[in-house]
Amino acid sequence: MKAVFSIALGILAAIGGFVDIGDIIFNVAAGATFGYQLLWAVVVGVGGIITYAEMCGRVAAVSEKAVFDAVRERLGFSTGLVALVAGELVNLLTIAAEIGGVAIVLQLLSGLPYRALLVLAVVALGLILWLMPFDWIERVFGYLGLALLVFVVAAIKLHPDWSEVAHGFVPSPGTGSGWVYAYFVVGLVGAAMIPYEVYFYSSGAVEERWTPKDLGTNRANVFVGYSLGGLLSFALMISAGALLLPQGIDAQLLGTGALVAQSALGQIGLILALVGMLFAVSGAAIDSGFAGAYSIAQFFGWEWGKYRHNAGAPRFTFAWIVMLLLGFLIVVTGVDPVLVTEISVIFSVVALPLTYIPILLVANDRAYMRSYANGVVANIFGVFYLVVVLVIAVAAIPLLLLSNMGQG
Amino acid sequence: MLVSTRRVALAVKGENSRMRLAIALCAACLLAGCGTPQELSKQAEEVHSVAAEGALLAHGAVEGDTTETFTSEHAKALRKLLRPVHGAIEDERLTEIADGVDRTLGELEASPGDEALAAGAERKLDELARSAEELAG
Repeated sequence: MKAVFSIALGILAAIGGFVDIGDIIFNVAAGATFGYQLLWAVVVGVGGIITYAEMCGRVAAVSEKAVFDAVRERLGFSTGLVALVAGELVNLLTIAAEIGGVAIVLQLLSGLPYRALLVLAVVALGLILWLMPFDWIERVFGYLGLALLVFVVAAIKLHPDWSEVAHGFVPSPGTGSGWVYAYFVVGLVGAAMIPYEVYFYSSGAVEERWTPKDLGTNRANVFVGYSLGGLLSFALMISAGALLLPQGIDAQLLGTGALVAQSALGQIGLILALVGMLFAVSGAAIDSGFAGAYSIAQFFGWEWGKYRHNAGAPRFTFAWIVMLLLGFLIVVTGVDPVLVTEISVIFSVVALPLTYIPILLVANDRAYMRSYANGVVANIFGVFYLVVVLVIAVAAIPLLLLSNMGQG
Repeated sequence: MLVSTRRVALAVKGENSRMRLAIALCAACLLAGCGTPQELSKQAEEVHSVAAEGALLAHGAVEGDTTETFTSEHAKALRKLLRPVHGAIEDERLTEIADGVDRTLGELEASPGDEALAAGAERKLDELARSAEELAG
C-alpha cells in the first residue's frame, strides 16, 4: 500500500512538474495561431520525453549513475566535454527564462516592480535549493503546479469544436504560413523534450537511491505522469485555440495564458492559473539549475547530490549557485524573458542530439546495463526519436529565421 | 552497440560547428530587429491583436471577474508589446489607431478598478481592433 501511495505521489509530481515556461509560451502561442492543428506535435514531443526519460531512469536504477556520469565514462572526455558545454549554454538560457517567468507571474499577482521581483525570485529560489530536501522540492512544486489543471476545465468550458480537436491529433500540412507552422512544430517538440528534464530525472533517481526494484516506479512516473502532464499542454493549446484564434489575438505574453483561464472561469480561474504558472515555472527554474550543477559535477567526478547536504558536496553547491546567478544576470539586463524562452527552446533543439545520442548508446550497452539493456520496442522508439531529434536540430535555426521567430 | 562511438563523435563535432553558426545567425537576427514587422498589413495585424487582447482584458474588469493588479499589469505589458510596432508604423491611419490603443490601455492601467472606464475601454478597443483589421485586409 505504501509503495502504491509513493508511486501515486511520484506520478502527481511528474504531472505538475511537466510544464515549464517553454511549454506555456509555445502551446498558448500555437493554439492562438493554428487552433488545434498542432496537437499532434505535442504527442510527438511527449512520446519523445517518455522514451528517453524511461531509458535514463533505467540506466540510473541499474548502474546507480546519472546521465553525465555515463556519458563521460562511455564516450570519453572530449566528446563528453562538447555535450557538457552545449548542454550548459542551453541550460543557462533556460534558467534565465524561468527566473524571468517567475518574476513576471509575481508581478501579475502583486504589481511590484519587475526588477525587484527578479531579485526576490532568485533569492527565494536559492534559499529553497539550499534548505529544502530533494524529495520536498520535487513534490511541493509538482503538487502546486497541478493548479494548472485549471486549463483543462477552461478548455472544456470554452466549448471547442471537439471534432476539430480530434483532427488536430492527425498530422496535417496546416493552414497559413508553412514556415511558421514548421517553426511551431519544432518549438513544441523541443519544449517537451528539453534536455534539463532528463538530466534532472536521472540524477533524481540516483538521489532517491533507485535500484532495479524501482523500475516499476520509473515506468509509472514516465508513462502515466508524463502522459497526463502532456494533457496540460493539450489543455493550454485547446483553450487558446478556442478563445484567442477567433479574435485574432497573438499570444506573445505569459499573462495571455492567465487571461484565457480568467475569461473562461473568472477570478478563481485567473488565480489558479497564476499560482500554477508560478509553481510550474519556479519548479522548472530549480530543476534546470540543479540539472546544470548535476551535469558539471558528474562530468568532472565531483561529489554531488542534495542528499549529501550543501557542505558535503561544496563544488556541486557552488555550481548551482553560479548557475542561478548567471541566469539572473541575463534577465536583469532587461531582455524579454519570453524572447529568451523562445531562443532557449530553439537552441535546446539544436543541442538535443548531444543529449539523446549518448543516452541511447548507454541504454544499449549490455556490459553496462546487463539484462536491463534496451529491448526491441525501446530501440524502435529510441531510433525513431533520434531521427526526429536530428531532423529538427538541423531545421531549428533556419526556421527561426525564415519564420521571423514565428511571426511570419 | 546500435551506433558506433566514432560516428557519435563525428556527429557531435558537426553539432558543435552548427551550434556556433546558429549562435551567430541568431545574434544577427536579434540585432537586425527581427520580430518587428515592416509591412503595413503585418503591423496592422499586430495592432489588431493588442487591441483585441486589451478588449478581452477590459471585459474581465467590467464583469468584476479579474483582479485590479492583473488588469493594470497586463495592460502595461500590452502597451510595452505595442511600442516597437508603434515606432515602426509609417501609415497615418494605423498610427492613429495605435495611438488610440496605447491611450486606452494607459487608462485601463491607471484605473483598473473603474468599471465604467473599463466598459468604455472595451468598446473603444473593440472599435480600434476592427479598424486595424480592415487595414490588415
